[in-house]
Amino acid sequence: MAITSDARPHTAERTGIGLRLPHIAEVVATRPLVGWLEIHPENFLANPHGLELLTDLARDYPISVHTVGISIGSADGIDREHLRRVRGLVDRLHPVLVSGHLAWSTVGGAYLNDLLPLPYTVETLRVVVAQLTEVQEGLGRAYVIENPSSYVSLATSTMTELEFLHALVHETGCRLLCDVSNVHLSGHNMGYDPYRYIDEFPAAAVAELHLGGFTPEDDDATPGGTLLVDTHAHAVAAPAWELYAHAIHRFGQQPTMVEWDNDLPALAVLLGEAAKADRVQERITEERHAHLG
Amino acid sequence: MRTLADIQAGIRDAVVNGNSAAVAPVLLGGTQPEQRLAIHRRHYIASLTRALVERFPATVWLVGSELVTHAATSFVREKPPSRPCIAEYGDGFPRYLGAHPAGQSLPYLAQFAELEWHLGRLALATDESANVQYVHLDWALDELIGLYLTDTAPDEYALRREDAWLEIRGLRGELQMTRLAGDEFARRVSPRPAGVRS
Repeated sequence: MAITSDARPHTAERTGIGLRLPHIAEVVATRPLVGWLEIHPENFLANPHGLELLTDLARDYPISVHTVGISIGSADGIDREHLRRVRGLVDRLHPVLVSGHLAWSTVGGAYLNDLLPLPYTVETLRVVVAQLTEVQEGLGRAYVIENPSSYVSLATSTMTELEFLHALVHETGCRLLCDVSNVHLSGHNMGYDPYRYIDEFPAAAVAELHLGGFTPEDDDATPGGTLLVDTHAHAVAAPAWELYAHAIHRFGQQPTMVEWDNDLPALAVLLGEAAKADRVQERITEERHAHLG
Repeated sequence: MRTLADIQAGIRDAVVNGNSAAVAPVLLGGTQPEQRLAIHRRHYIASLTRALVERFPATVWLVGSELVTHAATSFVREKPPSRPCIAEYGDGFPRYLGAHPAGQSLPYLAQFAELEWHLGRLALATDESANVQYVHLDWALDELIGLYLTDTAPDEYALRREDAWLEIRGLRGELQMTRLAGDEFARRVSPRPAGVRS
């Protein structure tokens, strides 16, 4: 009888899940089969007991640190105290990836608890390049940048979001996190083709993919219209799955993470979403090999 | 409004204060982009109000969710967070709640909420973190909050006005409140003079 074992069942080759505090006790107790765990450091910096549990999980799972408070696009500069605290957590957990958003959230000493839109200008590029450099020096490692979800754009922009991302990669060599759900959502809200966005995304810079749920809301300004709001409060919608398959075709297999931050379901539901992403990757990979063969 | 700083100041005014006049001329998106920007305002208000209400469940039990929610909604408009760790947001909420018009008739309310603030923080403590707090109360609020924590509240409870000097210890979800004598409390919270060993 052949006995096989997967000495590392948890690997970034499988899809990961966002680990949120209500699920942490169950994950510690049951050690579910999932690729990796992504956390928001801001949920653990003031929670020593939670961090203790997370450190235990880091012995068994690859961990990714995904910040929401670095605010890389703030004209006021980086919150250096927060950066220092995130560095401490990174040094403790040894994550496989550290990432954040092409957005801003702090101004005038206030943290606005949201990811706010940037104008895509030369000034913004200069600010983000400088602050990305500062963040990477402060963390002692690469910091991966995620494309935003959008409801508005700024008329002062002199380039598209894709042009901005290409310029950012060109200037810094940074890696990118392609949030496929954000691409679908923003394409719907801002009126562009999400498939073309994926086709023109800097493929060589991709380090990770995200999937997450959104909430349709009535667009009061457009009778019969809807806006898609990035709530991370639902399962991944069918159009996002289809776009994800397209992204795998373009980018190849990529570490993927399923986010669910609000109205959390049972852990098994979230794990089911991750398994679905695994199946998409496997199917697309087989199709690509069959095509090449 | 052309610089990044100008735009971000204008968006802050829209998100925190509901005033989008300064940033409206540069917004694009649909036929009424200000309404779209309001998505961020709604998230700001709702997420932080929810965070405060969930941070003070005993206070909600004591005075009702309507009062706490109303005060929290005002608080997030007047006092935005200064740090990205929302778990650290709200240390000023007990005093704000006590001064709120709906809370002013309850002289113990601020201290009760402040006691809950300390308990919530200490419940997350470990051996390696700060896990003790000394608190002086003017009312028997340790006894009152104990009724909530043990789900043993009677139909009626007479809150006594009395000095309570508490040592609160927390460790991985466990909490212990111990009353100290006044002089012992003072000894434990006073810094030792230089050169004096315990």
